[in-house]
Amino acid sequence: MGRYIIIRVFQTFVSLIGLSLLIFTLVRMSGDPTTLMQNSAMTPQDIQNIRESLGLTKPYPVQYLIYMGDLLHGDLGRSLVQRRTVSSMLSVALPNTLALAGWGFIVAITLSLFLGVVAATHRDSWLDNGVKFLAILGQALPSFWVGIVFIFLFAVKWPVLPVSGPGGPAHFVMPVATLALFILPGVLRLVRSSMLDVLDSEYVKLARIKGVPERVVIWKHAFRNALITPLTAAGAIFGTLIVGTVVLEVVFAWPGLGFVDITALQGRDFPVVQDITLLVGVVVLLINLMVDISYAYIDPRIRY
Amino acid sequence: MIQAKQELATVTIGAGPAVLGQRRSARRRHIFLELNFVLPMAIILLLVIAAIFAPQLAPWDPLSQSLEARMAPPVFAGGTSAHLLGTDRLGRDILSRVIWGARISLVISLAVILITSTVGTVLAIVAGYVGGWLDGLIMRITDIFFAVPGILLAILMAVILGPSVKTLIIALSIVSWAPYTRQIRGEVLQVRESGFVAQAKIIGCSPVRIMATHIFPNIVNTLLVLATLFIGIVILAEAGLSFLGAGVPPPTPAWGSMVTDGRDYVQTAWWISFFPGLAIGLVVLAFNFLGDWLRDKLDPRLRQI
Repeated sequence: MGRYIIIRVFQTFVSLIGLSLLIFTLVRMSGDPTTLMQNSAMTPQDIQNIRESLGLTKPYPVQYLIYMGDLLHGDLGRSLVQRRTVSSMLSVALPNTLALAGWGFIVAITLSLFLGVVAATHRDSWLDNGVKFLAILGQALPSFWVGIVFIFLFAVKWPVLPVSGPGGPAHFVMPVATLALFILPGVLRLVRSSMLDVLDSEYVKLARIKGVPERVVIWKHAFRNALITPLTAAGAIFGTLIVGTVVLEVVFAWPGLGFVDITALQGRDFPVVQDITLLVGVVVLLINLMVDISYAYIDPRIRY
Repeated sequence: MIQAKQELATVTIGAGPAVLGQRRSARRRHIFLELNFVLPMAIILLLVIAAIFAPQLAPWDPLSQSLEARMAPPVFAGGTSAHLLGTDRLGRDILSRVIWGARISLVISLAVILITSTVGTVLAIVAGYVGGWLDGLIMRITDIFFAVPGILLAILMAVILGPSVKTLIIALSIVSWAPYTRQIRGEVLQVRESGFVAQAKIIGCSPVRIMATHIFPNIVNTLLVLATLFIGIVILAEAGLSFLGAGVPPPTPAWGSMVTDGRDYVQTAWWISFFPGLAIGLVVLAFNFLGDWLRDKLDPRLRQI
């Protein structure tokens, strides 16, 4: 067990280095980031000064070490467009994103667990087909379009909900519903297929033969074990959640990370975009690490 | 004891109708399967025809603006037959732009699928067959690309390189090769252990030859299924990026950016966003169904994906 955890932590550490290297390389791919900072009023000397102050005249490995050193000190750099540090921008946006993503996650997980179990226990019935249909639609329809259709239906045609922006609980309904529909299909499929596998296992058959009531068989014996597969996909689910949130924040004018990211895209404000990408990547890697470690506790067969 | 036996008996008897039901549903699924092929193929054919013959099929120039015809509604919502699906805020014909958008969508997704499946497969075969530290290195790199949400990385690239069709193809390729590598490497590990690979080694085939002529043909089915399933995902990602302004720059008619065009006019002109979005949904639906159908035919082991 200890050996497994040490290897996993080391792997995650290597991946974190790799991730920072990847993002650093991508940003340097344009050659010189100062081309994005120039304006017509600058003299060549000004540009050279910017280069030197940013350390861009140094060799790439040294630049990378400086970049990593700053990151480890919590210095995420400054926005090129707004006269603020990136960390101050992110600390304002993060709570908004977490609120939206959190509710979307809760709704989507609750729904997909419930619907996944219902579909698996009523295999090939109209219920199962209905659930599959919902999953297929959620997977194919672009979430940003679904959001706009929701706005048209529930804010324009029948104005029962606010159009966009954050605010009271009513403001959450449409973004959360759209986000939930976006995350739902993947998790639903996992729950359904994992539940079908478990329902087919020997101990579930034994429980039925023993005369355990069907409700208990499904929710106590089968459901708990069927949860393990979706749990292992937690990192991927979080990634999907963030992607969905980024897109829908733009649709619903929600001032979170995605909104900041796209505003920065329009101003080609690369430090902001760079840090958001890094932040999300780091969180996904850490979630994967935690999942793997907790999984090793749950299932003693997992060993190196 | 007796009670248990009785219950066992009921369980066995109870299995009767269930088996019948399965058989019945198997027959139903068979017909459904064929529809699963015919309907998606019809939509994909329509897409390909629209993409190839866009200049001939589109009733208007997708870029021509018209002040008088701004925000004209579709024909079934009080509009005229001149603009069947209405016009946008610059008076451009939506139907023509949707048809031209098919070309953008198809060209970008096919280019990305071609690049990613080639790169992903080569890395997978090398990692799986050669093994050792090279395998470790390739799989660690794959892990990293799995960790960063593709859309964010693609937005970063659009910021760095500036949004363009070329940037979009590079960005989408960089973010979507990893699943091929992870999936196909697993297959390669199995094929590597088969007798014919050992025999090829014995008669002195070079590693490159073994990988190309003995391993590759055995993973082609998986590759085909993955590629088809990923077309839908790439089209959605392309549309998403274009919607966010990190994709095809205006005024080129891409479905995603057409949805953006109409976002601020939901109250007055819902059709600007509605039809391009519908086109994305239909095409993705078609490729997803086709991918599922192909998977059932060629490689049922991939069921979980």
